[in-house]
Amino acid sequence: MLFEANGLPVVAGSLTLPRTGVWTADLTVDSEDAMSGDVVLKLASLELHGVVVRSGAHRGTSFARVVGGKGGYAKLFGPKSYDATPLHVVLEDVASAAGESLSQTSDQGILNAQLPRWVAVQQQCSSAVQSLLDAAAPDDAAWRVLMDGSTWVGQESWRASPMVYDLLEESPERGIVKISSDDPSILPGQTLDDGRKADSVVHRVDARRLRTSIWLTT
Amino acid sequence: MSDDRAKKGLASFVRGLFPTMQYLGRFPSKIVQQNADGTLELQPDDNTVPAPSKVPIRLGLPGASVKVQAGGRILLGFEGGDPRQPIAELWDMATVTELKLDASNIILNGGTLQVARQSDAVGAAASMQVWISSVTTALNSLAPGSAVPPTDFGTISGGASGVKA
Repeated sequence: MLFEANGLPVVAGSLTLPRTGVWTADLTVDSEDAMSGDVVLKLASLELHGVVVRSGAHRGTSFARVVGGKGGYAKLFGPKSYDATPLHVVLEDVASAAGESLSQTSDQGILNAQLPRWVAVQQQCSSAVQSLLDAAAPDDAAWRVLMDGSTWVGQESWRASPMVYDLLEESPERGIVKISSDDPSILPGQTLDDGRKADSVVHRVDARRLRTSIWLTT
Repeated sequence: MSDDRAKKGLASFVRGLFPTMQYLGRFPSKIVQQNADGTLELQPDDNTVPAPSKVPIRLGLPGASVKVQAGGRILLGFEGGDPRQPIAELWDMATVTELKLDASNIILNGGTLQVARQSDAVGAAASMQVWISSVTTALNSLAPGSAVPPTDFGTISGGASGVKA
């Protein structure tokens, strides 16, 4: 099985992995029962941990939208005010409000940055994380929900992806390449073999094939 | 309903693009207390905004500072939309207990004369100088050397208690 959700075959669907934010998947699953709760997606060698946020079943097929982690970044955080606080304290509070957890692989330099003060008006948890990074972290800092469901904060290392692939189509004007691979393992924040940087990665699966679009950084 | 859902999604998308957009607003707030360093403890009316501590006042007038009583009203804003930099500005109403102005020249009502203060010396006016001179001369004609005209006429002993310079 190329693509599966909790062990059930995904007959069609898409998986979007952004460099900043939460990954999402829209799935058509060969099942009569609507999916719910935690989900483990497997796509070739990728294993992703997320949660169903919307689902239903129709004529013997199940449909679901899955988001990475616990799907909590749309929840509200605040209001809360901080004085002389390390960034990680605020981030952990936001993650806690979202029901999410920070990745151990996050950049300690960013996490330990000192905030002289922080006034958090009530906002979505995703906005709170982004505004924290915008104000208090280096310009190229990013955050995203990783495949294991934890939230990573840091600066990209732009590691080369070992993925073997065939280039199908290229749209230089749009900054998108389409590839075919038996194991499209490239992730946002990695580079193609020619050094171009992957910003977002979108996989599309149907009954016949898997295709991957890579949105390159500008 | 579908329209509402679409709008909600779009609004969320826009908020995601501009996460500090909310910080571009100004939030009416009550002054809870003024700290010794002049900063304010505020309680915003909007319950989605936290009560920030030690908020500096931006009076909009360089060299000026004020002391105010609790209960006054002011707007809470964020310099450059930065959540790290709350500021208090644009008074609505407040009881000012002290106003300090620090400037090389402070001119009131277009005036050009210097302001006298308590303990400053007072000089005799021209007619008083004439009178003193006459009296001194008269006294010394009766008893030569007995009267010496004063070199000062006194000091200012009081003034408006609420104005100090």
